[in-house]
Amino acid sequence: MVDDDPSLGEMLGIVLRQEGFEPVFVRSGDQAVAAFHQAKPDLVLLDLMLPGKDGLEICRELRMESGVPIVMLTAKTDTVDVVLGLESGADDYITKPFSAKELVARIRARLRRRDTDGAETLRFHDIEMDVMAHQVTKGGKPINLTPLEFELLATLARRPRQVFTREVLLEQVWGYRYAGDTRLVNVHVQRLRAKIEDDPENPRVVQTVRGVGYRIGPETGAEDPGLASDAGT
Amino acid sequence: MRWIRPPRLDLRARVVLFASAVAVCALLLLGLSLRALLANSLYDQRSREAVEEVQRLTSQAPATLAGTVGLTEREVQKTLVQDLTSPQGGGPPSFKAVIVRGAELSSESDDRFKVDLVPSTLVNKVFARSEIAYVYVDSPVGPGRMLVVGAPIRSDQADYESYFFYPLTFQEETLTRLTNFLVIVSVGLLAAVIVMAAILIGRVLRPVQRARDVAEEIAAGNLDARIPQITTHDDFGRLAESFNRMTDALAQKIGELENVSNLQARFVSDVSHELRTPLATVRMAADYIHAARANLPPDAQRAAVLLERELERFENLLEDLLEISRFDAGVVRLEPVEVDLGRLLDEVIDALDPIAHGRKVGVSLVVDTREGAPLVAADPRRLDRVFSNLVKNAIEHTTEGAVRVNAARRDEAVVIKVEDEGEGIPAEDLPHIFERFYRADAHRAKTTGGTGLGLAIALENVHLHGGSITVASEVGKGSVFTVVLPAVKSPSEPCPDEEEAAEPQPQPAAASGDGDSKSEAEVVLGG
Repeated sequence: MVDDDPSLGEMLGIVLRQEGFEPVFVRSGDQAVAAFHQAKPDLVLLDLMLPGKDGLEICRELRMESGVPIVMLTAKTDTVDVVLGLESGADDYITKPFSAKELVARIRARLRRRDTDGAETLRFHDIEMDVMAHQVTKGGKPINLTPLEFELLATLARRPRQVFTREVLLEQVWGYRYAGDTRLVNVHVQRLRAKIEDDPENPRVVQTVRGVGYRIGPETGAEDPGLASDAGT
Repeated sequence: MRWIRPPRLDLRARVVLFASAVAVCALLLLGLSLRALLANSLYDQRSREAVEEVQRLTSQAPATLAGTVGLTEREVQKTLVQDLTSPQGGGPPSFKAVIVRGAELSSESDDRFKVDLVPSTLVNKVFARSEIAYVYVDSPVGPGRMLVVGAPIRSDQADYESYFFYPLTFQEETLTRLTNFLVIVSVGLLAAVIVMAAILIGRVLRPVQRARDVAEEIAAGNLDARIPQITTHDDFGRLAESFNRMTDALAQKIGELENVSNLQARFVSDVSHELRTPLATVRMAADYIHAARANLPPDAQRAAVLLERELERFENLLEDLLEISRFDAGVVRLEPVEVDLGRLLDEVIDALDPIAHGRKVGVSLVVDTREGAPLVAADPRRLDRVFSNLVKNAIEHTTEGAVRVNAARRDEAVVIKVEDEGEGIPAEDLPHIFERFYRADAHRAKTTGGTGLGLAIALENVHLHGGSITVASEVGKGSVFTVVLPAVKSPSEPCPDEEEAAEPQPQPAAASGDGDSKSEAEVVLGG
């Protein structure tokens, strides 16, 4: 938890400990990355406005070495700030003031792991996803996806060629029960494309269906979309 | 010229016209008097010379008459004429013809000059008063006039009068040449006057024009525009100075005001932001106490409930303040997507169902799609706020009755009406209802927990979308809020995937908004 406000930190501590979490606090941006290495947290709560190194910079540095879920705390709802944070690698954001319930729901949604009945392998285009092992390969080469990106891709891939609206993706991937910010989906689809598409400007795998949403596109020339879901190893 | 203000002539034309009129008058006067003066002296000289010649000639006549004894009257006159026309020492006489008039007869040296040409006034002078006199008559030969000099010839035998016709060709030609010359010079002078006047007025007006250009520039919004410093200390120089001083003062005042309003908007925004962090702590603490209130004494329990409830109101107020400060600061940018108002209104009413249910108010929605789907280019979250606010107000102001929401496509617009059967709004409050913190009904508003900014924000949001919002109300009958938004021209068809029509669609595939960046590819389906 990186925030410069001690009272908020203490109050968050009370709430989070009560919910069974073990929070570690850092008050300044300069110490954030070192504290991350030391504590190896399961999730990072990050204030965008920090003394020292700013939230966006920390976000980028953490993303370079880890897929750890990052939830931004922001006092600003201005479009630019939120989008910049998401583009720097944050998975989700929550606007101050928030209720304890809201925050815990967001944290739990990010920590939640989909229960899979045994191993599941998804194949489409030249991509293979081992859901159990959380590994993705493209043309045989491993690709490093964050858990959120993995979840997003897997959700789309489980029903290839079906169009998912942004609202449905927000519900299934981010765990929003009510209308969330559809920019979350837009930004993360862009990030995902940058990693898995041959040409992110002209995506073939994750396609946009104008006015509706996203889907895994059909493989060029292939009759069957190439879904394979086999049980057992 | 740009600064002509029809139908009045512009200043330059007026000045030039006036100057030329004055010049024409002066030249005409000068020319005419010059011509008259010259004509006078020319004719005077001619008549003086003629009179001298006539005197000289007639002085010898009595001698001639003395040698004519015994001749007939006709022969005497012929002799006289011959004698008068014969060349004298200094060459031929300069007159054209001579007539000698006696008591009964008259003889002339040239047939074309008859005695009736001589005016009777001249005859009277010469005959009656026996003196030399002259007049001007029209020439019987060719154009122009002639000088007629009459002189008496007295002798012992008989009295005669002689009339000499002098041509004025030279004088008239001289006068014509002079007149032509005067006309040419006048025209030239007039042209010079016009050009000079135009140039001068141009020079005089240039600073005025410059001042005018600068004033226009300032009016167009460039407060830094100044009249180039004029070094002259005439009226224009002082005008420029005063003008620039005035502009400086204005620019400074405007700058100050802008600064104050920017600072104020920034301040409100900053305060709202700064409040958020402590408010997050307070909010969590309140949640915590509220959740654990079962273990508290009864008063503290009540306090926990009040704390929680009022905090909610406080947060709403803060949100609204922040929102309105963003509008004031002009930082709100619309990023529109296609929105189906039918669906949006349905969701709005759905979300307000608990409140409607609690107040036992039925809310109905009718979407008229006869003229097309009610599609608008909008930010769905902003429109959600607008209609949530309107419908919530309608529900809260209705004690018994129903709230009706209608949406319909009308030509190029989508019209949404929110009607209630509440107590209505008094006519004197209607014009102020969209003002900030204006409460039509103060004691009621407190219980419903409105922030007083809802309608002001709704108004800003509707304006942001290029629409309008109006209200009509009758006390005791209810109120109608009407929102008109520009419609999207052609509704884009939702694209169901044909091959997988059997697959359950995740959601009704209506317009959900496409906020993606432009670099995203558009996918043609059905291939």
